Amino acid sequence: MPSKKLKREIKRWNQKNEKQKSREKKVKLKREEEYKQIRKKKTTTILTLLNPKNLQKEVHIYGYHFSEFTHALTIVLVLLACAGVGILFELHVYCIVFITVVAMCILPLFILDMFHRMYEQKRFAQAGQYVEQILYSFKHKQKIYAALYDCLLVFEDGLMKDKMKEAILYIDTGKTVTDRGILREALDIIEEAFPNDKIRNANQLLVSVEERGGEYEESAKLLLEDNNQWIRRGYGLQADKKQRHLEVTFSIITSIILCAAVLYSLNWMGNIADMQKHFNIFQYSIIQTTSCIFIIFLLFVYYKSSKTLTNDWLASHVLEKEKLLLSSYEYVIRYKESKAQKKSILYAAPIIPCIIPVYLFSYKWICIPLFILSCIFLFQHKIGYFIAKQSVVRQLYLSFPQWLMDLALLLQNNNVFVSITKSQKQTNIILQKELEKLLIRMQENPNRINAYTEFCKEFDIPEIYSCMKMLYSIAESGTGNVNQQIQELLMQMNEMEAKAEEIENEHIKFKMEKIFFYPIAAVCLKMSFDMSFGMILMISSFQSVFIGG
Amino acid sequence: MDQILKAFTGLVLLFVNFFLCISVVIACEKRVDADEFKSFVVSELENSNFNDNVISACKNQAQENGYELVIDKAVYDQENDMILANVKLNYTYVIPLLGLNETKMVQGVAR
Repeated sequence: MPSKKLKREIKRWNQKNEKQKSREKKVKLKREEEYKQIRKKKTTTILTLLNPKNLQKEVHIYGYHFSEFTHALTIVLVLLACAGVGILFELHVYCIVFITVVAMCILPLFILDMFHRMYEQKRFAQAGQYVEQILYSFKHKQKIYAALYDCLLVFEDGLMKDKMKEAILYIDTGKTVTDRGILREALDIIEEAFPNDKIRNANQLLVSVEERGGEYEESAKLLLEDNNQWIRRGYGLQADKKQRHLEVTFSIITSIILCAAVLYSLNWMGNIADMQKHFNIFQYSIIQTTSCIFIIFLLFVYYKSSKTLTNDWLASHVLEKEKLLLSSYEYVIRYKESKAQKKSILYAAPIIPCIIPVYLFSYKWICIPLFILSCIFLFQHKIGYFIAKQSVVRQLYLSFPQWLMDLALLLQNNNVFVSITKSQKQTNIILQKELEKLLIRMQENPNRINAYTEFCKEFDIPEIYSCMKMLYSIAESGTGNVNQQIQELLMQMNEMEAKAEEIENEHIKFKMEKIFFYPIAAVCLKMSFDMSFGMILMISSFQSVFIGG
Repeated sequence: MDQILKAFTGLVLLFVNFFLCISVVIACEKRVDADEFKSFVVSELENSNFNDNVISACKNQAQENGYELVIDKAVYDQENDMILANVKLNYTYVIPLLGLNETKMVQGVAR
């Protein structure tokens, strides 16, 4: 049974957690309302962006200047590109005008997106630099104020420098608004502008060291290592995305060339087949219309591909919506094979008896879809379970290393139980649920290894299993070789992060590959249509050799 | 870039195959057309009893259709009238993708 002191500590932490949760809920609601307002504005924004002055203002928000000359030059280039493509496909004037109008409507969004991308990349670089710089600066004097001041000298003018100045000024005023302390509130100014786990962890460490003191070198080293890896991963992903975008661009250009080549070749073949009159496939309105749709589609594909380059690099990775994730988690936890199987048999029961009479008395081919449908119904529980489990596992691979990092930092000053309780509030919903269960098990049977190894046992993740075993040994051995064990724990975390990175990269790669295949799908459709149409025209012209008078 | 090569190689091959097939079909159709036109000329010559006006009209029509028509007067009867003519029709056999551009001939005899 846990001691009274421990119980009091848990109670105090639970109360703190509840306060924090209610604060976070308020912030979340506020953000949701802001998001709704942004969405309302979005439709009007697209129209207003057509005005060059509004576009310049929007670009200015990101801290860049978009001159009128550059805007005019971009418009001229777009017009030339539209005219060029129109001439290549021998489009009628009204088709070219239509394509140009669509391109002109997309252009402001495209420009804005480009600056947004640059802004996000700059923010990412600044966030990484901040974590590195503030931790190194803090080592000299162990004072946040001095560290912020040192950092100011290193940063160029921009959002980060402004926020750091604000934070210094806030400390200078010496007035607090809440009971969290002046340092915490000052650093909140930076965290609000750069909402990121790395910055939050670094700030947390600085505040706790300045307020409570203690050994922090190892924790700072861990944070720096983590930050370096995060920066490397971020830049790697950016480079990968750029490469994919380049591939999509080449894919679009090749699609246009291939499609035009098909039309010109058909025209050429048509002229060989038909010597009586001049054959021109471009004159047919159906070819004009499909070419027009094809070009506009490619325009949107290019815009979509360019949009995927824009990311909030500071945001932590969440693969699916929280509700969906939670429902998947609940499904896996509550899953009972026999019960689910009975349900599946019940679903498939009305279809299976129909297959034989249909085969005997009706069209035999209907049996194939019926058979497939019955198979799907029969195994729907397994399919559903597999999908739900996979989505939770993917999210666990992303969230667990982040939680482990928090835990490793907390373990420097707390015991395992308190560290887990403290780390609970900063994880995602699935880990929160699992941690709740873990804490209950720890309270009931603190000395049994099962209390730890049953953590996420439904998801069969070997890395989590070995980490939990290590946590158990830390809890059991007390503080003797904690540092060494934490190092091992962090090595495990690094391995998991590498795996998580692989999963995340695969996910992004899949998304980008999907876009890469859009132009190919479009060119396949357009080519098959043009070829079929051209062949029909040529076959009809075979009878045109003039015989007799 | 590897992806682009992989994805578009299939499409380009499809494109080349399609045009190769179409070229062969067109070339065969040209052969059939030429044969049909030659038969038409033979029957015209026979029906008109080798009339010079009809011969020149046939030659004009052949030229309009892109053929080269050669009519060799071959055998004459005792009254020095033509009773047999060799009709040679030259047409082009083109398969552009294979670089084939030959002039072929169909011939027949009008009696």
